Amino acid sequence: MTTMRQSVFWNRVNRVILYLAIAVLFILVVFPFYWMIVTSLQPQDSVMNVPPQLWPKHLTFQNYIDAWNAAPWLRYFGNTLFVAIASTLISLATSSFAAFAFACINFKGKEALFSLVLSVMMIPAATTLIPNFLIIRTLGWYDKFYALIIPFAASVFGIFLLRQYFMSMPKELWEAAQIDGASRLRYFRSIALPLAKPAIVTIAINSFLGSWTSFLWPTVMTQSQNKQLIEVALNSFLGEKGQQWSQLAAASVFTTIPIVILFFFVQRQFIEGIGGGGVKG
Amino acid sequence: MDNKLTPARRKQVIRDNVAGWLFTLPSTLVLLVFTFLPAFVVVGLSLFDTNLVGQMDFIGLDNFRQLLTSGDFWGSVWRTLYFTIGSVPVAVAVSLLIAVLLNAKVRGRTFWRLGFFIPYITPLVATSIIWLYIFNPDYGMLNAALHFVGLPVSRWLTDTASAMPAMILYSTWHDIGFAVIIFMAALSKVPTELLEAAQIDGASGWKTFWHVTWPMISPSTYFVVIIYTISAFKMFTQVAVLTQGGPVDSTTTTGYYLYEQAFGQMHFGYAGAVSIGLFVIIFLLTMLQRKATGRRVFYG
Amino acid sequence: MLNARRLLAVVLALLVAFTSVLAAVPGAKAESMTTIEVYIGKNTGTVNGKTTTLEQGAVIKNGRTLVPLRFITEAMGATVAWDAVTRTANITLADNKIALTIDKTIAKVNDYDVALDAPAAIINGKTVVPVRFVAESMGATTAWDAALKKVTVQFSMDWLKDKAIVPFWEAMAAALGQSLTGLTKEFNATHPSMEVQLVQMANYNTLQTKTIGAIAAKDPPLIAQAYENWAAQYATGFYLSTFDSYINGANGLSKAEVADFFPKMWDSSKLADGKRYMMPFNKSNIVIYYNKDMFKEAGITRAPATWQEFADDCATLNKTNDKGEQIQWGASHTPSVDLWYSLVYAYGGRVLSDTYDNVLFANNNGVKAGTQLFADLYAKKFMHYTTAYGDQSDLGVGKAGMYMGSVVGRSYVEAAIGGKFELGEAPLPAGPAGQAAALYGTNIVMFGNAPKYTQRQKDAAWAYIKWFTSPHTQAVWAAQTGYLPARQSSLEDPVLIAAYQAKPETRSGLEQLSGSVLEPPTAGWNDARSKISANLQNIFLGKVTVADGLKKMALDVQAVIH
Repeated sequence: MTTMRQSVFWNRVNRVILYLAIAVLFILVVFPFYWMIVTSLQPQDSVMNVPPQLWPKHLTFQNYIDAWNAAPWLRYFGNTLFVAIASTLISLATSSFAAFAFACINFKGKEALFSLVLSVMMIPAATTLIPNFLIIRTLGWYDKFYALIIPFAASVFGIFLLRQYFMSMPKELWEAAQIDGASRLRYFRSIALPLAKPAIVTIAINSFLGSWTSFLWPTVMTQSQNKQLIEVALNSFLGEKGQQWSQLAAASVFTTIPIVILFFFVQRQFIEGIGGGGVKG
Repeated sequence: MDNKLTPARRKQVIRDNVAGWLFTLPSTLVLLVFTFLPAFVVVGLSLFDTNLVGQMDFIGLDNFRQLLTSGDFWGSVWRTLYFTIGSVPVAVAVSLLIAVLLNAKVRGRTFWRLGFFIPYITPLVATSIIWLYIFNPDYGMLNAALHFVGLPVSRWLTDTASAMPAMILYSTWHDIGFAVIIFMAALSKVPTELLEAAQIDGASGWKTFWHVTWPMISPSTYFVVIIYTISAFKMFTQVAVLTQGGPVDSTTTTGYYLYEQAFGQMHFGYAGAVSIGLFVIIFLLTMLQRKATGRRVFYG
Repeated sequence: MLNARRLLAVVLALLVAFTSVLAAVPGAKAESMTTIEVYIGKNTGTVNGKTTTLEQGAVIKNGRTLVPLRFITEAMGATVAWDAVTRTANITLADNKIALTIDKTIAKVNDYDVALDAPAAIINGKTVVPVRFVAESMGATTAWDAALKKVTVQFSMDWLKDKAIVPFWEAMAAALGQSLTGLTKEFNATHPSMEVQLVQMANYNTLQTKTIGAIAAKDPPLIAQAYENWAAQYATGFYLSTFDSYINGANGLSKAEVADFFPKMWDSSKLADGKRYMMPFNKSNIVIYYNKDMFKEAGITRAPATWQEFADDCATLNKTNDKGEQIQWGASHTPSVDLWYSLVYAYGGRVLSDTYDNVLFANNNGVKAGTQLFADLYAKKFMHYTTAYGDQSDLGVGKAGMYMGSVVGRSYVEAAIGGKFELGEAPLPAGPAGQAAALYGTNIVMFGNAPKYTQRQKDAAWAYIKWFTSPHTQAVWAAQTGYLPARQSSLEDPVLIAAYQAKPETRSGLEQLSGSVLEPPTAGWNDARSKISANLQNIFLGKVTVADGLKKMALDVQAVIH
């Protein structure tokens, strides 16, 4: 049996090891970002030096200027913002309506419909890519913003999450509202939705993130340069610049920063949304 | 409750049905057109040899025959499995470890947690670019670091044997943040009484973890495994940016093979058959997973 | 009423409205067109059916038709200002200016110099000008009727406002892109009723997948760069059109002009079925770049003339430090199908049969020997196995003594070297069977059968291609980029002569041209290329022996070529 002092000592040592372990892992995970920034500030002719230096001798912002001027990034940002906001708003609307119906309304075929919706999650995007290409072509939406927004106007994740939230609302609330004479719609708008705000924020962030980072779909469905989204544009930039790592790093930095900044503002809700809502058995 | 439907009740039922269908209509319409309809279209498409403009020859099941005997296709399936089996357990284990460490009442856990999470929210192309640079066998940071501590270096993305492990490394780095969050939430929900009870009973840290914590967080573990498996099978962007399926074809996953066949070779009918093959495999895998873990998930 | 629901309804309504708007097809506009006709030898000219007598009729000089200046400009509605001192006619129409000086064979169109076959002249006191030049520079079209000896000029002011747009998908990056942009600007300025719009893709791979996607989406560009095997792919769709009607048409190429194209390039623009789906655009071949200073230091006096010499030089130039780490390679090389193709022929082998459906290299000792040479160099680490442009950067930073790259890569190589040492360029070494270099680079294809393009646009596309492949433009193109000129008479152009004089070694690519080998123009070759590339990588990474690797390569290639 260890003495009190010994166990305190071991506790202290444990804690030091603990912090050390966390710090090491943290550094390993965060390093590529540090490296991204450092590389973007280095002059091009020193990026292929061996061995690479952790802290560069010369710092320059020229890469940012060169990379920014090399392509119409503002347009790409605009496109991506437009698509992201549009699809987020629309999918929130459709998801909240559908989720509410699944959670709170008893209608014929509800179970079957819900299973159908769930089974969508099973179908990988790769499977439906080519036929969707055909469908988009037939609709005349090829190379138009519709192709980037409408197919994402429904979100199974959103329906699923919101349904959980709505289902967790006590039945008494609805009964009380009914007594007060409220219609379903009213209940939906004034009581259910506000209560589900955390889930809504999570879904919105998720959808926005999905749009911002979309790659395969826009590559296939659009061709005009003036409709390019950020990720596709960045990949084209990579193809053009080959080994010019400092410019590539600069472009990576300025295409990533907006999303990181956005995330800083909403991180709490997002993390709570993932942690809290998605784990119920 | 009476069995007969009063007129008022009947009206309510109708109203409910209408409301239900109306509310779900927008979502289901979109899902129908862009997820279900394609599933049927792809079946039809796979029966043709077509380049979608002008050449449309009905060949029945020939695409599937070619699929089943294609070394390239099965190679891609094997590689996708390799990637999945390589990345999912590692990602789960590492993120669990991080979550456990952070859960031990450390200070500034929000800060640490954020750092681990940032790779997950940053766009894949941007992070792929920096990793492409890091992975460079001649002047990249990774080999420089290994060399510095005296470990052997690797050719990473430029050699057929090490390309997929490099992919796994990158993807794991990218994905762990998500599971860290989930696990931290799950760990925090483990009732402290249970933990204390175990300690009083004289159980060591490891035993406590294995017999108390692990079962309690099993729904989360299951959830994370499923999510990671599905996303591993869908993987495309990393391959397109980092290796374009190479070197040789060592990183050509089925998703990428599909794209290549369609937009690189104009074999859209065959690509359709590949799409279906991919779906079947994912389906089987998920079924298998359900069966294997069904009994081990404890819902408390 | 619920706000969200209303919003949704509005969105859906907008959607329906938009889609129906998109479905509407814009109607054709009526054009107000002017038709001008002149006859050789007759002193009359007709404008929109009204005939007037001219003091001086149309004549032919140097094979070009000259018409009275005043007549043509008035008929088109242009204004003329005569500068008596310089004897220059300054013609203005809308925003376009033309300056023609009597007896001078260079005219100015919108600030660009244009060479004339026949200059403006004064006959019988009247100024006559080359009709095709003037008409086209003002945005009109000309047609020659040989039977009636008649020139018809058609023009509409609408054409200047509503230009014939020619979308051109290309993958010319950096310096090459700049040259192309500059030349295209010149074309657009000197052809005011046409506008070629360049759409630059990130690289060739993207160009191909995007073009395939666009064809499949029924929305192709009008012209695009394409390798022969891509064109074979595209030809399976409806949209690709042949160039014969244009070559033999009103604005076509004479027999002499066709013969002026380098035969190898003219041949490479046909597909296996003999149909001319392509026109030469940016042809190049591979040369060997080397570090002259490093050679001097090692006592090597010239670039290797044979592949064996190449291997010996690699052995001489390679250096390791005391830890056994490689600090200098003889050469760096990213395995390339095109180079291997050249290697095969240099060693007396063949890749595919004449009908492109049989593999011929499977058991050829020459092929084995050539491939073995490379495999050994890699194995001994005298040659650095690189990916992408790693070989170019190795040469640039002084880590490798040689690398094989396209003639066009010279500007990139020079940039990578940054003046650190003297660059040498030479034709590829020869094998036992002689010297062979694969002719590669792309041609231009036209999706003329795509319904979305009007005849005006297609004519404009042809005008651009004809202009681009003309001797002077090809000379400028070659001088600026390093591409091989498509026309033999470009070699007499002072611009190109000056360029070759300044850097004599850049003629290396040209020297290899007559002995070049062409790659199969079939769709199956596209698949075959990736099989060859994959197998080469396996062989050169040392994963299989040369014999086994070639055997597997032959099987793989045989399976996909049809």
